[in-house]
Amino acid sequence: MENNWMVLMQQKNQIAKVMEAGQAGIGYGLSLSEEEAKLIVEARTHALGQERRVEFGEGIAPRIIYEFCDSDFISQDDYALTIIRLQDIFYLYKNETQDELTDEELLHFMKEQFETVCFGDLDYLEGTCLNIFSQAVRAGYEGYKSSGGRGEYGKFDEVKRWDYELYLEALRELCWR
Amino acid sequence: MEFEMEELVPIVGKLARLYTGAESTSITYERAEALMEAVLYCIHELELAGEGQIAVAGHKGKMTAADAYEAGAALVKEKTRAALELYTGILNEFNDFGNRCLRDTFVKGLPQFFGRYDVRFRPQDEILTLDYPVLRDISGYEGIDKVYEFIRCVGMEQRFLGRFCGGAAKHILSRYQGDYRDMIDNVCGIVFTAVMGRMLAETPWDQEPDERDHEKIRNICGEGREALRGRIVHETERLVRQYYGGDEELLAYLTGAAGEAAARIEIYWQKPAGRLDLVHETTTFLLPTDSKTPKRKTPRPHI
Repeated sequence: MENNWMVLMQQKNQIAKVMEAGQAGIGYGLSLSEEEAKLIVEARTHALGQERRVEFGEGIAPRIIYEFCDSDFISQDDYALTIIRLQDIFYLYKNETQDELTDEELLHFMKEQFETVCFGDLDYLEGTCLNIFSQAVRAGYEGYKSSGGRGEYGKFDEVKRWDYELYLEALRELCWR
Repeated sequence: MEFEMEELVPIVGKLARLYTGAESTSITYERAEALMEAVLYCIHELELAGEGQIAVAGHKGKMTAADAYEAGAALVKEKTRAALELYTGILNEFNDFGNRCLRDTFVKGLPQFFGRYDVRFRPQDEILTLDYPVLRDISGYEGIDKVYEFIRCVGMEQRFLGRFCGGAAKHILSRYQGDYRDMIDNVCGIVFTAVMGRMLAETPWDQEPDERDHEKIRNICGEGREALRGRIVHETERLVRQYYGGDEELLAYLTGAAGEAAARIEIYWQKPAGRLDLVHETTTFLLPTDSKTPKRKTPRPHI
């Protein structure tokens, strides 16, 4: 941290808030220990410093937990580490999108791609999906404002995800063989 | 007025929430620093306003940082309104005397400033570079304070130059620099120096300075820069009393430029037929308010 006053700005009681948010995952078989909550809060401080950002209020970690706790691709084994990584990615792309997206819009976009395009691959989420989308945002794309960050990636995806011809061929083979 | 950082940080947090519309929980270092500067600027504005204003804000004892910020922010808004009012008042009768820098800064630039000035989140920014150099050093000011001072200075210059006959000011400028339209120099300072030169030499307004006048100036310059500056201050007082109804604000502004005028006179008036032998018109130089314009006592020899 460059300035002490910026450290002061990061509100205290973050661990309690992360623990509280962690309750939301219990129904999905995901829980956070106090040690893991501490780890997430420590990683937050590091990530904020790395990305030269200051957080005020509640912080993003609890909201990441609420958004991702029902994911099909997070298991109890890597729960805390995934939250930490998502937190890092979140701050990185707040900067990369030049703060044009609200927290909600960015979280919705991340969650949707994590589930439907990346299938839990955080490297793909960070290095491809968010990279392509942030380039569009920097170039002036504003469609996410009306969609809330949902259903956006298809407009920019460089990979053909559904091959219609291949599908028909497979269907023919299955039905007319 | 000193506050602990612990008191200021919550104000920055509140401002940050307003800035992001509560849609973001984090901001960049640069934005956070700008918001802290905004808070400090507003508190400083209250300090500048003095104890009277603090009492008006309802605080006789120690104020909290939040109260000081709110009172200061209100003062910044008030000053912005006052600056706009002052600006529009001057603009009605504004004359750029053909100088592009003055016109661009005052007529084109300042409306941009008022359109973009962010009273809440960046009150410390002037947005403009204020390229036209006024005679007073305003580099110590920031934000609306700087712009307000700039407008005041230009207003005083307009008052000073507004009393000159017809094209007299333009004539002085063209004699000073042929391409005065493109120069980045203070218009008022050049005319003021010319007037001071004439007053020191006791050249009548309706006549050209001659070699005797230049000789007088050379003698005065021989007394040293400080003595010359003192004489200029004295002549300025006389000028303002006689032609500007003793305008104290204008007097302070012009006497502040006495040192610069002294340096210019040393350079230009010492030359025979120096570049500031200015007025050829037979009309009067300044619009008279009374009959105390300088009169030459002895017949002028033909040169």
